[in-house]
Order: sequence, then structure tokens, then C-alpha cells
Amino acid sequence: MTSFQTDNFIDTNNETTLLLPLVSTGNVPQLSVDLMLHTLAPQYQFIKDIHSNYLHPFLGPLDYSIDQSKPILYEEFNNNNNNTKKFSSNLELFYNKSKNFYILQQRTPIIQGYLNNFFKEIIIPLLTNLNVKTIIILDSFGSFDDSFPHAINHNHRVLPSSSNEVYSLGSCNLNNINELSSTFDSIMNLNNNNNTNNHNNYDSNFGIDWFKFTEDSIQQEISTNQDIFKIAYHLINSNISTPSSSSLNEIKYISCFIHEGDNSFDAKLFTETIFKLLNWNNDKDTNSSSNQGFVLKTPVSWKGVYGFNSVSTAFDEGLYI
Amino acid sequence: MNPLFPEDLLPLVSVSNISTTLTLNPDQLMGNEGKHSWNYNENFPNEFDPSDKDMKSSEKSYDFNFPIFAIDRTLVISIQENFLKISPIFSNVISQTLVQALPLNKEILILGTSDRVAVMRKISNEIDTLEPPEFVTGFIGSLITELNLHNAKYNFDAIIVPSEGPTGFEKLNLTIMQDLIDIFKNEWNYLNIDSKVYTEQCYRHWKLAGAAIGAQSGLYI
Repeated sequence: MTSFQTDNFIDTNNETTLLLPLVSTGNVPQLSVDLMLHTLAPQYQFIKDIHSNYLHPFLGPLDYSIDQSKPILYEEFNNNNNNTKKFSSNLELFYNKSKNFYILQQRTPIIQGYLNNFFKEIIIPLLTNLNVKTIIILDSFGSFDDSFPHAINHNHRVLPSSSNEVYSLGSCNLNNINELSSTFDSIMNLNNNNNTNNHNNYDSNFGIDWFKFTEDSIQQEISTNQDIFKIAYHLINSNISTPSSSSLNEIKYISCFIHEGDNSFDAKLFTETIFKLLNWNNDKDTNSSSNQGFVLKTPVSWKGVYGFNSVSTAFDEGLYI
Repeated sequence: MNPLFPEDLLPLVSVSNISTTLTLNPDQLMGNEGKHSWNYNENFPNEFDPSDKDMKSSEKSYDFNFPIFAIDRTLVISIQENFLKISPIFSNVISQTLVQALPLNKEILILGTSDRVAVMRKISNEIDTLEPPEFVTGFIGSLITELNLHNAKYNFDAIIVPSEGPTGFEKLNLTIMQDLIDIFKNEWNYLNIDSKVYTEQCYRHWKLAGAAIGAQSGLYI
């Protein structure tokens, strides 16, 4: 791997941070969150189910990693307050108190047509309630993802020739909200004019430079067809980003380029990159060995489905629909 | 699951309907959008497409009706799913409304299928026999999730059987059918319904519904 510019990309300063995986190509963000949660299981605890009508239904057993015999992520929750959580749901919130770090696991896609509702009615109120300062959004895209390449090609940007990277790191500082708003109008107008002229989708797929990407990121801007655009739109337009002491400061966007297929190894590399970005590699209170980083633990639900194991005949697809 | 309740044998009385309507009305803006207009292929359902000049014509509504039957003192609610026609938002809203309407002291039995379980799973509010990576989705998944939300307020039993095929077009194999019939065949004794006749009727209805796979479906599909 080349020397990817990761220094100080994410510096949470122990302020409340939430990590959200988008359901995207190859489910790599979900798989990575699985790896993160199960690897760090002693530090993370299940907090609550976030109920939403806007996601595809999901009911599954409680998951645990292969070397544990029980779902320890849920243990503390079930020991407290006589809770009886038996099933995992489509949207679960986990928390690490010492790092002040929330992880949301989303197991099913948003029902088509309800993406805006989902972010406005579920995610933004959640961010407000938890008082989140930084939101980290994980994404992935493949070569057949038509929402992606035009973001680069529209302005005929050329990727840096030295870039061997498959990752993109972008950050959007919401404190510069005025600057953002001014570019906002012009973009929206362009978008509308375009549609009335009956141009095809390619032309309405504008690149937008709300996010500052690192130089060697494969992606240098986001396009209006990407989910990250819609999320950023809602975050910028909601009250949550109005400058105040308790508001959301920053959106961090981490995306990786993958090929469709068994993406467990992509997820493994992605997770390692995220750990590196978060500077969690040399944590004393974890099971990491100083140079190697974490030994990633796969959940039992991956068995026979993803990667590292032989494939059973009963399930040729994964936990996520 | 309807073949388990053959109309010509069991005294099914139509009681009512669950009816749902989804209205797509472009006038209902999502609010707090300020002066910005937008258009990025997400204008379904309660959203506004500024490039759509003839807004009135784009108001659409979708209706679905699901019957409720009674067999003696048992209510049978059957929700027909169809991944091509019926958005899962219906499942979610119906299950939410249904659970709110359910009396707490009633026995709830849920019958459903999943193409992600290996064998027949009997679960309840106290027992989870699903093993990773098994899971249940669709209306049944939504309903059980909804029942679980209330922290053990509702007692329910659920039978989830393995199926093949997409939502709304599930196929069951003969063994599973046999198992299901075995569970139910003696339930109707108090109505003087012979278990043998019931079994035959169930098989017949399953064949008619085209929900069976295995020996009967032949060499060609």
C-alpha cells in the first residue's frame, strides 16, 4: 500500500462521534462494521434498536464472533434493566464509552423512495439526541456504479498518476456553512435547468465540491446521484448544523473502490484502513499487537457465507439483503 | 400459507378487510427545505419534483386489500406479499398498525416463510432458535420486530419454514408441507373435521396455488 495521507484525517478529540455505514456496493461498509464491532466486542455494547419503517424488515438472531460462544455485544444490555433482547434488528446502535464513539449497524437497505425520509426522520433526530459532533460515513462503489465516475469526468479531472489507492477520504466542515450555501444555489439551478432541457441523467449528475478530498483519493468530488450527496444535503439544511456549541461540526466520508463478489477481504482491508485513520491500532486496552494491528474477528453469521471459510450449499448469499 | 385454511372445508367467515392506501401527492412537500428545490431521482413518494410541470396528473394512489377471516373464535389475517407490486413500506405500516390494534391477552401465532432459514424454526417472544446467518424479512420479519419492540409485552409463537423464491412467489417443498399439515391437522377436531380429509384438501390447494416444488413440479419449469 502506498503512503496514503491518513495523518490526522480523523481527530475526534474524544468528542461524540458516530459511524454510519451506507448500504452500498458489495455491502462492504456493513461487513466492515461487523468486523469492527466483533473485533472490539469487549469495548462496544449494544445500546438500542432504532426503529424505522423506511428500512426493509429484518429479524435475525443475535450475532457473535466465532471465538466467542455467546453474543457478548448484547450481554450488558440484557443484564441491565431486565431487558430481553432476543433478535437483532435492521438498525442497531452500539457505543464505546471510553472513546465516546457510536457505531450504527444498518443491516437492510432503505426502501426505494424513502431515502430522504429516512435521513430526515431517523438519522438527523438521532444525531441531535446523541449530540454528535462528527459523523463518519462509510461508502463503497464498484466499476458498474453509474453514480460515481461522472463525478470525476464532469470536470475532466485526472486522477493523480501516482495514486494506487482504492480509498477516498473527504471531509466537509459544517462550520463553513455560509460558503457552502452560496455554492448550493448555483448548483441547484444548474441542475434544474438541465432537467427542463430534457438532458439525460448523465448531465444531471453533477460533481459537487462540498467535500475536501485528500490528494490521493480516487474520488475528488461527490456527485448528486450519490447517497452521500443526499445525506450531506439534509445535514447541511437541518438545524443540526447551525453554529452552536452542541451542533454537528463535520462530516467525514470514507469510500472504497471494490469489485462485486465476495467482498470480505475488501472489508478486511477497509476495516484496517478505518482503524488506522482512527488511530486505534496501538490501543493498549485492546487485543492488538503493536505492529500488526488488530486481529480481525469475523462474526458467526459469516460462516459459510463470506470469505475466510468454505462455502456451504444452503446459503450462497449473505446476511444482508 | 392460505392452503392450510381450505375455504371449502373450514367454516371461514369473512369478517373484514385490512385496506391500505399509499397516495403519492407532489403537493406535500417534505418541509423545512427552505428555498431550495431539488431533483435527484428520489421523488417518491412525498417529495416534489420541480421539473414536473403538470403536477396534478402525477398524483397517484395505490390500494391494497387483505382479507380477515374468522374460524370459530380464531381470526385469520393473511397478508399477501408481492415484491413486484407491493412496496415493503406496506408491510411495515400494516404490522405497526396491526400490533397497536392487538389485544394483549390473545394468543398470537405467526406463520411465515423465509428463504434464509435452513429448517423449520419455531420461535417465540422467549425463544430464538434462529442461527446466524439465518434471518427473516418481509411482513413476518416486520411483524415480529414490531411485537418485540414492546419489550415482552406481547406473547407470540412463530413458525418460520424454509422456502425458495422471491417475496410473494415462495415455493415450499413437500416435506415442509407435510410438517405444517401435521401441526394443524388435529386442530380442527373440535369442528368435526376429519384430519385425513383436511390433509388431502391442503395438498390439493397447495398444488392449485402453485406453491409446491419437488416431485410434483416435474422435469421442466
